[in-house]
Amino acid sequence: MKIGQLLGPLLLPLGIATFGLQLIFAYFRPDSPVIPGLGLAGLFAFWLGAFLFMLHTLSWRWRTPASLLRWNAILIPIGIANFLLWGIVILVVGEKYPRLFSLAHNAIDTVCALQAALHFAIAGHLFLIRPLPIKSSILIGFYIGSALILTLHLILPEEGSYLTPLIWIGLLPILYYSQWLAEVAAEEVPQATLLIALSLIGLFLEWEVLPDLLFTEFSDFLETIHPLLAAGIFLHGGWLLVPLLLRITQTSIGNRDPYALLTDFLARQQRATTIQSILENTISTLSRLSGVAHAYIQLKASLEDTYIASSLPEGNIREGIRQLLQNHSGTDAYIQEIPNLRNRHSAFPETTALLIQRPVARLYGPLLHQALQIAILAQDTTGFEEKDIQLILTLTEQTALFLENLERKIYHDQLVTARKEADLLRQTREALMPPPIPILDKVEVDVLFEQYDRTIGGDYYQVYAYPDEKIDFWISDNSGTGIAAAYQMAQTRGALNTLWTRGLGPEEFLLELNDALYRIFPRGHFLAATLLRFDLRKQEYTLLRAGNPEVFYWTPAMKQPEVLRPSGIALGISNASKISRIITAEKGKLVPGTTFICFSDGFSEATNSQGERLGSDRLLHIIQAHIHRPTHEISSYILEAVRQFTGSTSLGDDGTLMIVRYTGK
Amino acid sequence: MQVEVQPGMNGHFTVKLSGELDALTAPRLYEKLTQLVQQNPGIQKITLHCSGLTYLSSAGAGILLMSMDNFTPKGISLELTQVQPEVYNVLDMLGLTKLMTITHA
Repeated sequence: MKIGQLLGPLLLPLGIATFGLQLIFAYFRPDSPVIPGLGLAGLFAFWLGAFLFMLHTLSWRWRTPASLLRWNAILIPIGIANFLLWGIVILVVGEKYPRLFSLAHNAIDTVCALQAALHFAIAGHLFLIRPLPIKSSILIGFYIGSALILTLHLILPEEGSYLTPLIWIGLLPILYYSQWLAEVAAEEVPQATLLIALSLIGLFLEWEVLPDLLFTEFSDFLETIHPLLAAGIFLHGGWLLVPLLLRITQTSIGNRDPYALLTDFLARQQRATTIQSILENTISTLSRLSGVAHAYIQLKASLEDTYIASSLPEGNIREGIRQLLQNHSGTDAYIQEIPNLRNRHSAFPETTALLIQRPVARLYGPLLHQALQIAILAQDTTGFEEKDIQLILTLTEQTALFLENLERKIYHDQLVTARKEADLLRQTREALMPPPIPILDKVEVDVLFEQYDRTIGGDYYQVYAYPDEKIDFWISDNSGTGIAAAYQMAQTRGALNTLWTRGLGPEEFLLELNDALYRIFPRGHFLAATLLRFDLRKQEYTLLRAGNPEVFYWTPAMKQPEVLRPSGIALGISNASKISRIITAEKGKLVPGTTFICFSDGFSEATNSQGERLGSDRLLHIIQAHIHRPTHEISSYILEAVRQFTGSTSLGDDGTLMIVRYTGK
Repeated sequence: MQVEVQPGMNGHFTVKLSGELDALTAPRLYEKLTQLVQQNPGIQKITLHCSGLTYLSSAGAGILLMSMDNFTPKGISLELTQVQPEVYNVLDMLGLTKLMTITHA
């Protein structure tokens, strides 16, 4: 605890006790020479005690100019009432009762002294609004100087009277450094001028007019402190005069105009396009407020992302402030004032801090709310005035609104972009859809073509009828997913339709395609395919498998379908000379009813909610039950069974299944 | 998917794979393998220990191929050991068992 904090509560009762002693002496020993001395000692003790008590005990909310001026004005009617009360006693009692007469005189003197002490204690606090180091020196100088001059005036009235004008001169620096008067000039302190004017009139009436009306002469004590009382009147006159001068010269308004400050702030925020620039604009505006030493702002956008702007350089203080804000969990709004930051940690400056948090709504992301946190350091422990806090809260609120608007704008832009992308995907998908299956003699074909989430993918199928009664049935699956796979699928489609015009044999066809894809695919990308060729004239088939799953084969003579697994390798992985040694064709005769079921891995790897895959065996089992049916019925049963297995209408991937049956007629 | 690199002797490194190697995780494996090769200039052989690998997508297979294509010219061989049947079937279907050294679990 500081000395000042102890002295206030000690000096106040000491001053009152000294005044009490003065009154006791006045009653019992009216002629005692110690009476003025006791009064003066009481004045000094009470004055200093009141000042320190207000400094350490009263909240800063009670020390705003508006509050202090109200308290200052309230003292005056009390003083006048006291003057009139004891004045009437003096007039009525006269000198018939010397003790009561002396008591009444001294009661007036004592209350005058108490009142003057309180006026100057309040004046001290008004002076210290917007503290500067020089102000403390001026105030201490004025207090000590006044005390010395008044003491001298008491001891050597004649010599002391020469020095009393120094008290009045001491008022000049006090008036000069009273920045709060600029707020009075700007009419930012409500009713200040009226209160000062009333106080001035009241004091003049009480200390200059009433004594002349009531007494023939001043008491020794009142005579001693009269220069101080006059200084009180001059001070109030100064408080009226300075704002008037400031208003004439308009020097007070300038950069302290909150309207101009807000207009500038809003204009800059309107132009801000990022979270960071919004926060930096706020910091720059907060730093311009008088009384603000530093400002720190952060937006906790998610667990990982925190945007920070600060007028504090990197270092212990900034880290400490960040920790202080971090200590508050959640995103609820709060305002907290920390009167002396040094009490929290010795690394902090001796100043007041204001912590503010305001939730900022989110439209997407891991958290529904993000927290806008602001810490503002005052220039010292005297803290912030109410109007400063109001302005800071307005700036905080506006910052949060700009952040929310920015988020809304980004979200809207993303929606527009997503819609455009979806349109583009739909158009691309339509353009990349396989061409219709040609009308074929002696062959039935049915295809299940499932595209994951109705977007584009890497699966493709086509049936190509040569002029010489040969037909190619093609299904393929590009590695990868999404637009990249679709792009490669489009390249494959181009290559396929070029090769089909050349009338190549099936093996040669696949090797040529492989070389084309090997040249154009990025490394690590490949194509899994199945090529089934029917030669209707010769009634033969050739099956080539290049990375696609096995093919099911059935003829009416068979009880159940067979699994064909000709050796193969995905295309685009290596050059033709290598893969020609791996790819082997499966050839056979076509008899009426011969059925092939080719599929991509989207079907065999369809997964249910337990993570279990359908698998080729289960697919074969489904097919086996319906293989005697027409191809379109087989495909319907397969689709239904697969959907029952997955429990969904989607395979979870692109999938193609083609059923080809040679009918022979 | 988890990738654990175990340094061995004479430029032989073992990389233990577990989980699923698909389009999401494949780039991470490729990055790890490339990093391993860059940080160990004397590397001669990388064995991918696949006993914990439960799924291989076509994108995952593509990354294995790409790694092989990149490492072979540098004299680094890539082999897969302890491959589970499900994963082996995928590699076999794609024909990669004929291009790479792959052993069953």
